[in-house]
Amino acid sequence: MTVDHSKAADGLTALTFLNDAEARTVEAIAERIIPDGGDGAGAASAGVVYYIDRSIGGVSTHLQHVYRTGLRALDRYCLNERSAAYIGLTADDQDGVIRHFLGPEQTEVGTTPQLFGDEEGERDDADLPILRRLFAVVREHTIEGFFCDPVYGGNRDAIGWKLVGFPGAYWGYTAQQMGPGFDGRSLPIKTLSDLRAQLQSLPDNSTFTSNQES
Amino acid sequence: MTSKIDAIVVGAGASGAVIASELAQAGLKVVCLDKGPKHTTQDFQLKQDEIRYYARGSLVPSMDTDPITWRETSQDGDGELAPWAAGPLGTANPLHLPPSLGAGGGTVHWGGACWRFRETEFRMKTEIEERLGKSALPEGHTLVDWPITYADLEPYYDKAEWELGISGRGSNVAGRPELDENPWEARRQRDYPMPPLRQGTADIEFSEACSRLGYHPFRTAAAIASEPFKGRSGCTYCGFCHGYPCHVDAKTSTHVAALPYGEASGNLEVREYCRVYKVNRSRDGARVTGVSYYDADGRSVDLEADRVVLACYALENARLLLASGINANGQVGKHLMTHAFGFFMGLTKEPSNPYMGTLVASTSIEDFSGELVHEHDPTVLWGAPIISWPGDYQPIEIAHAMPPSAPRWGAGFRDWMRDNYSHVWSMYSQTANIPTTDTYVDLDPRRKDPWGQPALRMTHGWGEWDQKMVEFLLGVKRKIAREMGLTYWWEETTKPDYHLSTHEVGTHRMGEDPTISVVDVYGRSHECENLYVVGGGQFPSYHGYNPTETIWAMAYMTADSIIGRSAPGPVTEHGHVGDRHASHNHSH
Ligand SMILES: Cc1cc2nc3c(=O)[nH]c(=O)nc-3n(C[C@H](O)[C@H](O)[C@H](O)COP(=O)(O)OP(=O)(O)OC[C@H]3O[C@@H](n4cnc5c(N)ncnc54)[C@H](O)[C@@H]3O)c2cc1C
Ligand code: SF4
Repeated sequence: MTVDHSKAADGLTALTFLNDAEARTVEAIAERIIPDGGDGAGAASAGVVYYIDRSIGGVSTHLQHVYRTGLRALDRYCLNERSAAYIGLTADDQDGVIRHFLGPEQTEVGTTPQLFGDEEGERDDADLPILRRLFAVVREHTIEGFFCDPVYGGNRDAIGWKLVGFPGAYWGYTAQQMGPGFDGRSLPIKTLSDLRAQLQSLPDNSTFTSNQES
Repeated sequence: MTSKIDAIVVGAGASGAVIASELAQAGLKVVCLDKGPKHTTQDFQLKQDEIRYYARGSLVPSMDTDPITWRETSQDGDGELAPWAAGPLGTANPLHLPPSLGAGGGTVHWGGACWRFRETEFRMKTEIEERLGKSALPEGHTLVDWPITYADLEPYYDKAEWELGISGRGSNVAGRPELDENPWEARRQRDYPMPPLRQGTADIEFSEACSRLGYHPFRTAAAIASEPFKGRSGCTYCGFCHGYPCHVDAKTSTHVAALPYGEASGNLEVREYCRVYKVNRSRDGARVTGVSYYDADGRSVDLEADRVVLACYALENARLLLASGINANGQVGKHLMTHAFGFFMGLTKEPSNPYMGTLVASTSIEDFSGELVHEHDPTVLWGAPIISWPGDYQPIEIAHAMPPSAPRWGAGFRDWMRDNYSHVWSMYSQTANIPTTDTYVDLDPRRKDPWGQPALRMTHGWGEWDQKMVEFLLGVKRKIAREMGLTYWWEETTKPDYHLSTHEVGTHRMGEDPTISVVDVYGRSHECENLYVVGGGQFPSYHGYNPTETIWAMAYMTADSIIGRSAPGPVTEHGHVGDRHASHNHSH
């Protein structure tokens, strides 16, 4: 087998900290936190796991142990309680696991979601605190990875921004765009890379500052 | 720079940069030390980045480097690391951390809402006692009136507005009876130098709803250029404003609005990455001799000067005084006050396009401010303006601000964001806790920062009387929401879990009596004659307004006092009221 030297992968799906099995599990959890609703917009297709991998490989190294030990604990839990590793479970069972550690999707109004372990439970199960922490961290990271600028590895193809109608990295908005009846969804989505490419050719700031509608 | 230094200014933020620049322009040799970097506009060209500035808080100190501990009352043990200041990832919303890092301090990434306090705010204690009786204030309260009046500050408010650049539309302007939107505005010698910012459509709906309810809406003043100002661009309404630096210098951050003028004089040296850890004193303690700081490589450096100005924010100012043993009368750190925001979020019928504009292109009402609230409910001690926050919301921020009834994960979470993000709209108010003997900061008995310095500890809770103010204003917001036809709304609790709002004040109170205050009206220490301690820490009482325009006005007053200059006289030759351009040229 010869290596094709004319083509190289773009480096967008390699991993900088997580191992392959860990990445698959994280991706599976993230996909339940923000699932594809049939329109292609979910955490997996947004590449949330790559956002997470780069975060903990780079700026949030203090969270590496949460993933490493938490994911091991998760496999122990799933094998004991559900006879399969997390990624081997059905979507419903995966949701059940998340509910167990993160709490229900919808909490009663007026109750504060419990983010970290309560002490009583901790006495019975040594893994409970790390698992609760893992799910709290993955939830937070999934939201970030779904809505971040794509330069961070997530929100691929601006999937998250398209879903909610966020146009992204704009230098400014004109009076007309801020005026009544303007359809924000008609604005082209711009990433930081797009904006950087346009830095040398931006219109004068007065285009945005001026209140004269042109 | 010569070896003799006339003044060391610690902190190049809102107050420090103004004072350092004023002193340097008056001919004093000044070194300004800041623990953060000296930002340039180039650094911020690609600042449209919610991960960097919001999620990771790159402009704010973290609990790792600048730990703050908290307990609700002094009976609650030693205190824990401020729980609201570190979420699951160890980071938090920059609005609930100390405001600053680097030149510009909090003003680099602030909202820029600007207020002059009304006349009665300066005598809040007397007003409450005269109107509601002496027993109305809670037991153990430590409220006092200000030692200065609105009239003392007026020339300095004017100076801040015209020197630094604040946009808005006055309502009580000498010689301009046609400007009358806010019937309760204190008298001002002239209008703002720039007109108000452009509103989004949802803000106009707020304004119209307020008018229909018989309230008196007016445009919130903003430290944002609405048109080119002194070589800075007007606002481009980029939508990454609150919590973000400005990429076009429209936002009035002191690193662009003040420091360059000081540096141009040749008398100001700004040293970045210098973390001051101690103020040094003469043998008899009556004077300070300079400061000690750690440089970027962790080396300790001693610097001497004729005087020292501490301008590192109300919390760090108090911490430094305490860590340096400057607290002979025991007043340092007492009387802590901060804001509860009473956040009220809702969904508009038509899209609000919350990613455009700036939160402070907004509208306010003062119908329930200060003592005015007593006519509606005499059990509420003090009122506050209600201010719209019409946008400048990015998706992660909204994912953190969803209604309690909305799903936190799963398809429901996803769909909520899909359906509602572009309809989000909000309003808020700011009510300060009444200071008591149990609201204060001191040194944490155990926790140290990575440089071995004692951490700051806050003792602070929200009293029933504080919560009542929030609740009353939430009631008004509900009326406005109904009138606006919001399709859904949700509210912050009256007892928020945060105790940092970037509006901490009172911790080095100013006063005339040296036994019960820390500094005089010019910010000069009662204990060390050549030490000044400035910022919101000087406030004797606190009210419904963002603090910084008043911090600026007081900073100009301090600078005049150090220079030996009298207060600016009424504006005459350089610009009759409404003439914007004459006085730009005059200024520098
Ligand atoms: C997101 C956000 C929004 C805000 N919105 C508003 C608003 O709309 N309106 C308003 O009025 N206010 C607002 N504020 C608050 C405003 O920023 C502060 O009131 C103001 O900056 C306080 O001024 P200061 O000079 O006391 O401190 P700062 O501006 O915080 O400056 C302190 C400086 O000291 C430096 N420093 C601290 N410790 C040391 C040390 N040990 N050694 C050396 N340097 C040190 C810091 O790096 C900083 O540069 C906001 C703040 C934030 C963060
Ligand atoms: S909204 Fe205006 S002032 Fe705020 S950062 Fe953008 S351009 Fe600057």
